[in-house]
Amino acid sequence: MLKVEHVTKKYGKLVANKDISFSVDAGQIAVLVGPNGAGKSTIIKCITGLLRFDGKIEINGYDNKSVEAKRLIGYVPEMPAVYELLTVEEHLEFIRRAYRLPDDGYDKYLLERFEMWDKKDKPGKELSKGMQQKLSICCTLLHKPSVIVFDEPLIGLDPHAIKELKTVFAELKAQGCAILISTHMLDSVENFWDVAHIMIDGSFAATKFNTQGETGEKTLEELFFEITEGKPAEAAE
Amino acid sequence: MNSNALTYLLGTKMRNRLKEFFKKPIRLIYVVIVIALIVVTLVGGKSGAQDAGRTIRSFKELTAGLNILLISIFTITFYSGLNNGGSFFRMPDVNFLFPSPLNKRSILFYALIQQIGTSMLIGIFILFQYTMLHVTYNLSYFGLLLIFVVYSLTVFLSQTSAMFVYTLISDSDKKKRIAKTVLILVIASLAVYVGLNVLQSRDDIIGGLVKAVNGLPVLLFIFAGWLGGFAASVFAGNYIQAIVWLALCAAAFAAIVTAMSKSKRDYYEDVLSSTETLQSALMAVKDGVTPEAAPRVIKVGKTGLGKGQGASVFFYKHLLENRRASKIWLKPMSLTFIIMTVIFSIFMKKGGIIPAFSFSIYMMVFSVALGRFNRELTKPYIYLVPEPPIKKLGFALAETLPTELLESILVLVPVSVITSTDALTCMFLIISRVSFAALFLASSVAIERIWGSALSKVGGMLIYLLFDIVLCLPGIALAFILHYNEITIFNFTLTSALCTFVLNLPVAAIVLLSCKNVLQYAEI
Repeated sequence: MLKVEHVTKKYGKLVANKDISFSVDAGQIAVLVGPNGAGKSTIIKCITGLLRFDGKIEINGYDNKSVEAKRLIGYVPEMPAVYELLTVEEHLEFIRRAYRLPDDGYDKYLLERFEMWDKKDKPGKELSKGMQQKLSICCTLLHKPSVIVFDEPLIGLDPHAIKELKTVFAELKAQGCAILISTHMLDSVENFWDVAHIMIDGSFAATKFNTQGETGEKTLEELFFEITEGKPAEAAE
Repeated sequence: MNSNALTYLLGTKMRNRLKEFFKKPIRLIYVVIVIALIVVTLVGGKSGAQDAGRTIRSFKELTAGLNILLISIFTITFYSGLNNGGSFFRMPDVNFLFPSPLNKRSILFYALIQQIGTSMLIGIFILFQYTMLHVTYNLSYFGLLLIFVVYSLTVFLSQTSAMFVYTLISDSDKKKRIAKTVLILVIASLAVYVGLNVLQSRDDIIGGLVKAVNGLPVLLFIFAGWLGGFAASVFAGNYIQAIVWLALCAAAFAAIVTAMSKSKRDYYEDVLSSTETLQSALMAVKDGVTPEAAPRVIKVGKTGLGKGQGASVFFYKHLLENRRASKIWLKPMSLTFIIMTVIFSIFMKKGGIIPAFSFSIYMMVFSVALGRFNRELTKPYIYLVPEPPIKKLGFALAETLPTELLESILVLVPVSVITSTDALTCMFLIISRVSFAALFLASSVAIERIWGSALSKVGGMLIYLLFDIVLCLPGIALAFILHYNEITIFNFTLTSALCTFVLNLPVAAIVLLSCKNVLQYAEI
């Protein structure tokens, strides 16, 4: 599981994340929603060890910067991280070798699943933004991480890939993965989330658990607009 | 109305750019430092030359060198423009101006005015060559300004010509092939003409080369040759001839602009692709990613990394990337630097190998900054891979040393032959140059460890240059101390190479070891 305790991230005088604490349990999907510039990508980069921060972040009990934690975490960045000169298949070979994984054909399975197998010999430079995003997702899933962080994963994907990725979310959840998804598009997360954190100005403005079907309960969208449009937000659950 | 909107846009952009300097003081500091360095070069170059009992070389060598430089820059820019059209526009121009009712001639003029500024910025490096040019050719400030202006004009006119020709050929691959073939044939004819002249004067190769490159066939080369002719005529005091060359340029430029603005086919579609490419490169730089200097169409060849487990996979990946980036392993930029250094050594032959060696080190500062390691830092994998940070750092840096060794051999062997330097000294200079590469890498790592992505691009480059200078000082200081005390091993050059090598490596090692956890404390 993922545990974030009192994380603050500053860029000079600008406080990008202010004393953030939350956790994502095994088999749980948490979403970070918020307007542009709310600090979602910053906390995600802190979690994945790409930024220095004050506070504590643990992956299954290991410090997030430790080698043990790195073995357990997967990260799909907002900007697809693709090497221009490596082919699609070589990206997966690179990850397989870097993570010391067996050559068991899982790379081929992932590429086929995301309809990328026919592009296996294409260099990263020649892929469209959507293809690069799909490749980035395949690279992340290859080492079967138990905590996965997605930063705006659906942007640029075609409808087939979006459908496939949502199925993958459900499967990962069933397998006991802790999943954190950041997005500013509320309709993209629909109802597959378990807990949603609404971020504004670097901190959590509200946290809502998914209690679908309960009467009188505000929807995530209603709560979001109530907070972001400046009306007083009632204490979330 | 039309011109008002575009004048407003140009004026506002210029004003806002000036305001930016005060909002981001690091840029202002950078500009002040660049201006200060130019002043130091200009003043220092002049006073230094007074002390030296120097021999001034023929001015014709300078004009020949200028002709080669102008024709090379024109050819490279023009050839690249034939592939994608080149563009003076940015995406906001495409999105806001092209669909607007503004007339296309005004939009073209707006872009041309904008581009003149960019071309002049590209030419600033010329100003830093003053010391060398003044000492060698007794070039005056006016002469330097003239070279700067003709260089900037060549850059500008090569881009304008490429954009114009592209609008004529963009609809057919056959026309594109013909245009490229014509350009290659022109260059080949000039090379044959120069080659034949050199062969005819075997007893004075440099003299023959200089005479041929200053000859009329070379000066007839569109824009670049004409501007070279203009500069040579001004230097010779032949102002009527200078006016003729300049009038030729002005007439051809006016013809191009008239043809583009009156043509029924608009140029919008032709500039779109290159504007989009430029935009994605700008966005990538904004996201901290240096665009890969890869061929437009990558020849994949043999696939698969084949080797590497854990951290070592970064090394094998870099080898594969090098193979794909260039047929000859070296980056195109490195190849250009090698050619420039070799040409430099021909003209500085009498000064021995040290000036060319120093020039190659200066060039290496930039090639190391754009190397695989710095590119790797912009992707998340190097931070995410579950391996000890020091191992990842070691393997991510490992590719640089064989690459720099190859580059050092390719540059210093011909330079040693040209300057009649013995083999042993050449060998020590090669290892010394590799040790400088290690030093510059250490400098990059230290900056990453201290500031991460907190620095702007400009600030980062400035501090990188500063770190490089500081880290180089111990080796250079030791060389000076030994020289001052008249302690030499074989000869002065070899002793200096040995001093830098002996001190550069431990300095680099200390810096790298003290930053060994750079990948653990990332800031990207």
